[in-house]
Amino acid sequence: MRRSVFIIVAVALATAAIFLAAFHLGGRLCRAHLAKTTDDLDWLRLEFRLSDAELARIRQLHEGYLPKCRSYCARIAAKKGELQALLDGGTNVSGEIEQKLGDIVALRAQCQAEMLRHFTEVSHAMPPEQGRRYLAEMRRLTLGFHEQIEQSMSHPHADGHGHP
Amino acid sequence: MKNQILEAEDAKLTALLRQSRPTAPMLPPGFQQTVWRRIQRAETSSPAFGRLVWVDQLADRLLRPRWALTGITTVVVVGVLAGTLSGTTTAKKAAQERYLVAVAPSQVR
Repeated sequence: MRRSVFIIVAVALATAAIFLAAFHLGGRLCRAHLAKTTDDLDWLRLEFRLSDAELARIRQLHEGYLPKCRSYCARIAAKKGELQALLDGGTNVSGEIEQKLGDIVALRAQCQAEMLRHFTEVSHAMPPEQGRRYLAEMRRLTLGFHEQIEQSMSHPHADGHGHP
Repeated sequence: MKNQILEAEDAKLTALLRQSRPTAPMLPPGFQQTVWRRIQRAETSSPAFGRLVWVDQLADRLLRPRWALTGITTVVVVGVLAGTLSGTTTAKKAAQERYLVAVAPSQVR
């Protein structure tokens, strides 16, 4: 009886160890296989099952969009630097600070509009169903973040930030 | 003289004792096996034994090579599949984040 219990416990432990080892091995092999390339567009290829031709067209759009994106980011970063300098210089919210904040918001809006245009172009380069899915996913991932924050801020019970 | 009388009485006594000893009845064939079978049946039908017998049966089964091999193969296959699924999800998340960083840096989002 005691011997049987010992056998069952030993088999259960061995099973758990074998399962964990196999799980770890499977995950490692898969990650090693998928992480071979460091291509930015890997996700599109994996998630939306694109053909080589579709991927080549999207790559062209992607490479055309990147300099614009970098330019906007550099301008936003410069404006943020100027705002920081003004904030460090005084304790009051001056008209100049307000102006800088407005500039940053305007630049960010232009950048987001450019980004959405790019997403639309990319979605058109995909098969219709995949394109719709891509567009919805990208809107959720990029603009959805702000919506979540706004919703949490407008919630009446949100940590003293509630608006009536 | 006295010894001769004692020996004669002793022989008589022995004969009487032999007569008085009951003779064992003839046992039916397979008597011993029947008795052991009954003992075994009584043991297996007792509640304590019934509750624990499955433990012995399971342990016995787990040690059979066919069962052990099937079990190990199943665990390895299920483990590798689960690991692959998990690895794919992780790799996809990493690839998604890489794409997002490229097209929508954090300061734009």
